[in-house]
Amino acid sequence: MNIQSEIDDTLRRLGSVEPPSGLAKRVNLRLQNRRARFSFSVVNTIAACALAASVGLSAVALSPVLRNLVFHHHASAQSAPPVNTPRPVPPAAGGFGTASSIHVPAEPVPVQPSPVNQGRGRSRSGRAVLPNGSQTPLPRGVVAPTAPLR
Amino acid sequence: MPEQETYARVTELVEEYSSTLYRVAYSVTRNAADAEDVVQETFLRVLRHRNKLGDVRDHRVWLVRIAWNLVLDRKRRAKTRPQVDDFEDLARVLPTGELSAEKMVITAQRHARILGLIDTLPEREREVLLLSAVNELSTVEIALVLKTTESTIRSRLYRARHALAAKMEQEGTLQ
Repeated sequence: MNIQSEIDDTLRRLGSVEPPSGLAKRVNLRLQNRRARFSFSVVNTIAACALAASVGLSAVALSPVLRNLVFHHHASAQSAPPVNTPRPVPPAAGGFGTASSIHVPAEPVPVQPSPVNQGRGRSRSGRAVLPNGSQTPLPRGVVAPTAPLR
Repeated sequence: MPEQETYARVTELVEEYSSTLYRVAYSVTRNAADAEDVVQETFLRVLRHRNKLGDVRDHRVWLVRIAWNLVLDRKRRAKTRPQVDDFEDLARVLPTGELSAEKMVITAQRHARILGLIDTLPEREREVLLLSAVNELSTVEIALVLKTTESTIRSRLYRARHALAAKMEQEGTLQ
């Protein structure tokens, strides 16, 4: 047998290998299993989420403590006037000025109404706006011409 | 395409092409279990990309390309040599016709040596030679699988066979 026919023979045998019997059936079966597992896991996830949500809602609805916490706290937070709560100031390094710099008021100080905290002074886009009739403040050191330049 | 129809189509593809894909995979792995795994993985990929199923013109070429890429990837990752030393296994798997047990083992041994030499060929030549071994694939289809031209496949095939013959002569495989 010459070399070329030997190569042909080897390749022919390699290319005509018979697959083990029932290959297609096994592959199809595994694909079905995989599909079933996937759909089962999706259903499981949805069911678990629904269960968790219902348990949470039931707990809120049934427990007076939780209900108070959720509804009353929310309501009081919405109706309370804006206050400046005292912020803790970290002590200065080295101890200088610690006695004079910290001033913690005993009661919460209500914020004085101002154009800024009442929503005025700024447009919706965030740009600063001035009330009608007021003059634009000029930057320091710049002289603005009052008449058009020739 | 509705979901049920898609799954039915995939089942048909499995029935129709699993043998071809097995041969394609076996030509590289030379291991029955690995080849079957590749067939399985190929159809899992098909399921994953089932929305493309309607756009595919030639399902055979598409499937062979998926299987081919998978088997090459698997081989690269495993870094294992094909089990060509297992002559008895090869004798059992490769069809040898009406031969005596002793002759079957000798023939399988000879084939194993040639397959070993094929594995030493440059990658491109080796790929074309192995795909050309799969009876169902024409040169045009091999070109489509490897995304090249038919003439390139022909020249690679020629070079592969020439190089293999030279190696066989050098090693005295026929003696």
